[in-house]
Amino acid sequence: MRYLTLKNGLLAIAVAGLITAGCLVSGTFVVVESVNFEFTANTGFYWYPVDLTDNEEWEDHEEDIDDIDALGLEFLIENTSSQTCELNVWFVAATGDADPNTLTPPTQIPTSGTVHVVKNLVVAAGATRKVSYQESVGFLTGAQLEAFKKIILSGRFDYFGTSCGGTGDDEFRVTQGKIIITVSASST
Amino acid sequence: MRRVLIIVAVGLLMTAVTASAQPGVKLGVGGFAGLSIPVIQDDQESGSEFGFKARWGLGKILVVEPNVTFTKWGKPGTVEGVDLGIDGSKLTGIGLDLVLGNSPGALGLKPYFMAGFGSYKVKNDDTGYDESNLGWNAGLGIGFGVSPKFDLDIRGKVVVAPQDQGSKKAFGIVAGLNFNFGSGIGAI
Repeated sequence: MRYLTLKNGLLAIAVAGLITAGCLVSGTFVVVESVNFEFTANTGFYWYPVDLTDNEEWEDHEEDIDDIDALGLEFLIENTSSQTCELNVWFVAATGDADPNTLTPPTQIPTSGTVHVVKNLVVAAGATRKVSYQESVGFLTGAQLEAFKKIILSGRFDYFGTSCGGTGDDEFRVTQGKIIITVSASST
Repeated sequence: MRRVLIIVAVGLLMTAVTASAQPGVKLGVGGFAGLSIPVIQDDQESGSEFGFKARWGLGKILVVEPNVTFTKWGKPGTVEGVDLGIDGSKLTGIGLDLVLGNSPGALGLKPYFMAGFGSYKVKNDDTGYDESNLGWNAGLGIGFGVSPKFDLDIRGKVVVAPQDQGSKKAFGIVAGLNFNFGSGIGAI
C-alpha cells in the first residue's frame, strides 16, 4: 500500500512537472529561408527584401517561438574580377511588402537599426568561396547577435550588401543564399 | 545551482560511506551507458550517454541515487538541403534520483520506477549555445540482482531540461552495473 502511494506520488510529480514546464508540445526547429538574390556588384551595392512569414516552416511555429538558438547564413561568392574584393552584409528590420519587383530599391544603407553581419570578407581575384552555415554562426556574438535575432524575429527585414564595384557583367556574384534559423518553440 | 547540487551529492555520498558501518545499511555505486534520443530537435541526432551514481537503500523499496550524466548528441543531418556541419550539443546533468524498487543487494528481477531532478547544462561549441537550468527526469527500469554484491540494471527514461525559453528533451536507454556494499547487504 505504502509502495503504491509513493509510486502514484512520483507519477503525479512527473505529470505536474510536464505541465508546469509548459513543454508538452515543444521542440527545436530549423528554418531555412532561400534568398534568391543575384548579387551582381557592378555598382558595389545590393539590396534584397526578405519576408519570412511566407516560409512554411516559420509559419508553422511563428506564434510559438520562444527564442532563436542559432543563426547562420550560407552563400557562394564568385569573384571573376582581377582584383581582391571584400564583401560586407547588413540586415535591418523592415515593414510592408517584400516583392523586389514592385519596390523602389534604396540607394544607400539605412543609417540606424542595421546589424553588420558579414564584415570585410575577403575574396581573392578569380576565386570562388563558399561560406557555410558552420562558418557563419561565428560571425556575430553578444549584443550584435542579440540585435540580429530581433531583426530575424520580426519576420520582415532587408538585406544590404557591398563589395568592390566592377565594370563588367557578373564580376562579383553572390548566389545560393540561405538564412538558417534554429528556433525553440513551445505550446501547451 | 550546480555547486549546490554537487555539494548535496558529495554530502550524501559521504554520509552514506559513514553510515555504511551501521547495521542494515544498503549502499552501492554504479556506472551506466547507453543511447540518448533527442525529442523534436531538428539540430541534433541520437547520441550516447554515460554516467556514474551512488545508491543508498532506504527501507525495503526506496533508493536514493545521486548521479552525474554526460550526454553527447550526434551531428544533425541535412536540413532542407543544407548540411549544417556542426556537432551535436552536449548535455551534462548532476542530479538526485528517487527509485522505487531495485533495492541494492536483493536478488532476482526487480522492476522499478524512478524520478529525479538535477542541474542540466546544454552546450554547443559550434553555435555558442550554452544554457544551464534545473530539470528533471523520470522513467522505468528493471534491475537484476546477480549476487548480493552485484546488480545489473536497464533503464528507460525521459529527460526534460528547461531552458530560459522552452526546453530540450530526450529519451534515454541505458544499461549499468552496480556494486553493493554496507552491512545490510550481507543480511539479505
